[in-house]
Amino acid sequence: MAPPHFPDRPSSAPTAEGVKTIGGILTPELHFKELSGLEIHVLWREAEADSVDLGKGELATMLLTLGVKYNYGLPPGIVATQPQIAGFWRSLQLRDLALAHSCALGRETAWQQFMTRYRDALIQAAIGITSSAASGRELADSLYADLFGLTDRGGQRRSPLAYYSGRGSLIGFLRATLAQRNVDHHRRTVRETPLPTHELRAVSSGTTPTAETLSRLSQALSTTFGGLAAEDRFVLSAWFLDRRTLLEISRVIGVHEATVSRRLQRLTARLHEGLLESLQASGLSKAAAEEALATDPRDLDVNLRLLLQASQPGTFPEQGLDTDLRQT
Amino acid sequence: MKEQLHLDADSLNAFVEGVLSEHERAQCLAHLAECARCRDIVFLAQDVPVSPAVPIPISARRRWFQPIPLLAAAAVCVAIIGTWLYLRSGPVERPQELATRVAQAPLSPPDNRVEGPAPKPVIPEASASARLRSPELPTQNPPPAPVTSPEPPRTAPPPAPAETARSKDSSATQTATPPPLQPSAIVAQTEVVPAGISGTVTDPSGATIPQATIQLRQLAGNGTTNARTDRSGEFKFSGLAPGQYELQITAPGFRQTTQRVEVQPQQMAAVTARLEVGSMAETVQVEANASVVQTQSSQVGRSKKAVPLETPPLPSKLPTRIEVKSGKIMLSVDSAGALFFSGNSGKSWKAIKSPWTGKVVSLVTPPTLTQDSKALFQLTTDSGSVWLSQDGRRWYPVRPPR
Repeated sequence: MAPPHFPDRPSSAPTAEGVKTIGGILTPELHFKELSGLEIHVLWREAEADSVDLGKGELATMLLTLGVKYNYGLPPGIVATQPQIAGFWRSLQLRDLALAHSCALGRETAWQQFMTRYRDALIQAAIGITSSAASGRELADSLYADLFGLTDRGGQRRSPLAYYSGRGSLIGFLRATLAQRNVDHHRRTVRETPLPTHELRAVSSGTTPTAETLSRLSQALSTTFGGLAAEDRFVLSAWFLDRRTLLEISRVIGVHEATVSRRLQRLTARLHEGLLESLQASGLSKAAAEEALATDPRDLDVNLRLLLQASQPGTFPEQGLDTDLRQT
Repeated sequence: MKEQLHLDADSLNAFVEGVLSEHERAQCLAHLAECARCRDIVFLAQDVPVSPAVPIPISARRRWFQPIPLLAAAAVCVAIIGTWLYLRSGPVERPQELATRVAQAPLSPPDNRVEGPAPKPVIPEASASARLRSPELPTQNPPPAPVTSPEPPRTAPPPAPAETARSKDSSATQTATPPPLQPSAIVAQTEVVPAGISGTVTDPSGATIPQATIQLRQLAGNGTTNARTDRSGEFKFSGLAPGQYELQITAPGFRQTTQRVEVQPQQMAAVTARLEVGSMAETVQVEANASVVQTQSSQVGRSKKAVPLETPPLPSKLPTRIEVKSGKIMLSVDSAGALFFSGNSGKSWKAIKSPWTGKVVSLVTPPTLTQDSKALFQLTTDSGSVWLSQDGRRWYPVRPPR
């Protein structure tokens, strides 16, 4: 069968919200020339978009919108070249992307495919996340209803599938969505439960630190924690605050658990050294700095959790991820 | 309370799957270091590989075992005592009876029942032995049915008592004479066949390329693994975690090719890479869906691994990269791209003084070009020139068609 003709430029301009304003520079229209009729035809075939009733124009609009939204995977401010643009599109999970967006548009054929491919996987993932068959099914069913687009916003059917970008797999996106809902539900429930009150026995310390020492120590802690890299702070948070295992942390950052263990050792040693240096730099002698480090943490007016998780300037310096973030 | 921004599910998933670019990953990590909620989601959304369901025979066996561990121990004790008593008493009739049975049923499998202690007729003894041995046997029928009617006329007719016993008293036979492969079959069912990628690297003419370098990189991770194709141009990576991988295939004189492969759990993805002739610096991006080979059977899982070539007896002392044969004439190209000739099936080799410049990157027989019907061999150099030969020693260039 001869491939259907697709014009070099789609007849309808993309109208995705927020796309034209990102960065004020890149808009999908500017990149229409990059998406020639031949290329969209190839991508359309790779995405098997025909099988889910997704037209070439719709796919082209979607790809251009995603490209602008994520600046073709490049840091903000860098203008993507033709090979980089093509590489970005080809790196997407095109089949999953076409299916998800066709489902979000309410196409019956797409929903049939979605049911066949993901219904059981969704339930299994939910059961795995909740560790309970009943809760898992309940969670999966609630998400499934939302995916179908029952939520109505401004007279338009909105499905979470419309937020799928195709960078990861669709099943991974569904799993993350399930996890998100489960965590939110859990945190809502836990907030209503009173925390257990443990009265810790005070550790006898030789001398009570002076207010000046405590102030210096607080300052040193802020400086030392602030100088850590994002991944190091993530590892420390996951290990000390969330009490995750080495294996869990290693899976997330993609290294061996022995590497995580070594990194934790190195980080704690570096923190100790950093604190000593900061204290000595503030005018304490080495012995006094060592003594200050032996201070009972309960005497400190410092919240280590807040310190470790304090927002660093430049955490989100670019606007590229602004559209990824949702206010809660 | 301070409002906090969170990463959405799509970004979190992209982070978990390791498909974010460096700057996006750094941003995500910075947020995750601060946000306990998003950390929880990331840890929860991990695709932890679920071990396959335990096959029914195993679980049945365990169920059978767990309530009665003492019975199993007692059975072992009884078997030891019975053997000891049997050796002490030394019944005279049993060897003769055994000889008769073996003569009457020569095809029956070896039966350990002769070591049973009870001096009873054959079949009841087998049943008793079955009861004793049942803990060690596969439990298709977990609780072994007790044999309550040990009637010799019914269960042991004269022609073939052992076979009759198997056919008439199925429960006793199943437990007493298990198929010898059953335990290993159970192991095979519980073994997880590792996922992997196997494939072949060929040149444009379809000839395989030995010693091509394949670099495997998991898109969700940072590590890379290297392998080389063997003499037949094949390679294999096994024991891979499911996910998206990128294969970067390089061979001297060919253009580098990159191919993406999705590895499914317990399946072997098959890849065929065809390299184009060209310089080392050129790169070709290939997007192809790898066909998936079922590896549930252990036979497939034991396929050949990429084996480095043995040191061939070439005058250059370099490993052979290409080898073709036509009759007794053998031609070899070493890893430096030099051509060698052997007229005695590889017993001795002689270097060919090449009229071409550069390295030989492809050598095939019979030639794919039809300019000379008498030509036996065809080679291609790294500069792209093609040469033909009728005897492997004298070569002439192929003129490009006008």
